[in-house]
Amino acid sequence: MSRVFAIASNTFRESIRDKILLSLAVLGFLLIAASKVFVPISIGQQAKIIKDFGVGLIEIFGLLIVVLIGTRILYQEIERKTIYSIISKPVTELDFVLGKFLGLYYLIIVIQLILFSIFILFMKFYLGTIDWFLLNALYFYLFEFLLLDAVAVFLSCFTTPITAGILTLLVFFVGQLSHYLKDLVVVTGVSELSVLVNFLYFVLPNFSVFNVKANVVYHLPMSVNSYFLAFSYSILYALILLIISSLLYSLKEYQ
Amino acid sequence: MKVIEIKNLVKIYASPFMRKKSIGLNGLNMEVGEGEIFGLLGPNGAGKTTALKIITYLLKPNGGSVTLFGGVGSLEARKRMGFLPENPTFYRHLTGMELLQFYSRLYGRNPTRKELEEKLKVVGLKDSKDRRISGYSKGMLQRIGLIQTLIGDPDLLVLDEPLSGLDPVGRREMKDLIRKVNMEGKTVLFSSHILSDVEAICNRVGIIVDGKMKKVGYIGEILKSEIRYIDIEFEGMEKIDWLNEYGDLKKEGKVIYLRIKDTEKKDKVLKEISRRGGKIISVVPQRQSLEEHFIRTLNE
Repeated sequence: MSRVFAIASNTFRESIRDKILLSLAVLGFLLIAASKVFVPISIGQQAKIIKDFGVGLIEIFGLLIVVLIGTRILYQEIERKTIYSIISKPVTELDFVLGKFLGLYYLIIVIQLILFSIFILFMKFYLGTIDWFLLNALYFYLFEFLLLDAVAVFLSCFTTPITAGILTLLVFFVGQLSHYLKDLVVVTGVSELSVLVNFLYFVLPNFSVFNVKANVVYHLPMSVNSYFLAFSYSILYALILLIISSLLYSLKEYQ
Repeated sequence: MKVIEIKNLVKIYASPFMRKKSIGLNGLNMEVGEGEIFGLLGPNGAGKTTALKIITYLLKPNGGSVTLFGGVGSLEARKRMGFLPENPTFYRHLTGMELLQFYSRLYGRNPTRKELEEKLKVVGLKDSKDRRISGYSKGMLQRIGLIQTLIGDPDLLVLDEPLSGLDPVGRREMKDLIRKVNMEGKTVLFSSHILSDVEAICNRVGIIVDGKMKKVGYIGEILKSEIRYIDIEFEGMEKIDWLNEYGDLKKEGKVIYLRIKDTEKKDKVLKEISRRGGKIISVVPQRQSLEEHFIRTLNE
């Protein structure tokens, strides 16, 4: 595992020194600060809007990191030929893929923690109180982005960063609506769609498992099962994707 | 023990969207013994880099076999091998020191900063240890590239054009370092276009042409068997016209130079010079250079 952690910490360091991250960090900070703009125009709804806006923004920010950085981390290794000095060392394809995946995940964890901390400070500053229940969103986001990170790594095994980025976004948004997919056949009345819909329903990751924004903002009850499901579903699905990714990588050649 | 044993290696490059195929290796056979410095020569596109990349697991062969260290598994082989690619590129965001720390960890090692400083000192990069790789010159990249091959204390070094891009001083330092690690018991396989360097440091060379090994041999043997002419230097003779039939003649002051092209007549000429009162100063057989041999092999 030391090889995996070495690759992960190198990937993390590389991402931290990436200009894109700096731009995203500035953007994230500005957008959270912008929630102030909404406060005066919605008297009586201030708390709800700040919470809703903040929690949603942190999710979008995580999504941007995965799409803009996660889809490039593997491709860059090949494009810049730095992979030559990795694969020729005692490193398996699984070590490499896991290391890159974990490196990006370290980054996501750190950024999510920073953004939630900033968000908490904003709540304290504007609302005078902190809604600790919102931290439930952090738990679900961490597993959501664990899975999305694996999706990005998997897709970037066989596509360019731009294609992988678009596909990752697509998988994310379709996955959010996963539970509506089955209704599609009933609503449209086109029974021929059922094979495709069933395929998409079972194959695409179901990101609605992690969608708890309404629950955390409106303090709706959340079952213990939903916590367990988010944890187990995310890890299991990510593991399968990473194993397939490492198999795909073992077929690769570096000319 | 044979460190590398390659049998009938075939590599075909095929574009996934076009029917066009090109042959990288076409039945390459090659062996590298323990403790050798083996130089791989060949014109551009002959298959040198392809062979090295297959040995280092970057490419997969379409046929034939590569056996490393008598047949150990790929992970074990990679543990015992260091690779310097052609025109190496490393992580630009890391400093020289961080790069070596990273590569050390891939071997499960955790050397101290001081130990790594010593390694950087060997190639003259101690003062640049905290500079980012993005600021390194080509020569510096080549030097840190060689050090990273040694980071796992491997038994075999595979170096693809290790001397390219280096200035004369850098080339000399690199050659000295290759010789030094070889003296410490490491086997070295390297490719190069710079024939004089290959001639200077290799024990054995192989010439690849069109994906096949065209000639293999010890440098000494290849060059010894190819004496092209003999230069004789002598003095103390006035009448020398009779020597014109044996080769080119030149007189500078009292000293006379004769270049004999028919080397079998050497003894006869030497005997005659002595008999006529000449005093032999030197007899130097002129062998063909590796470059001449190389070009002749290509044309065969």
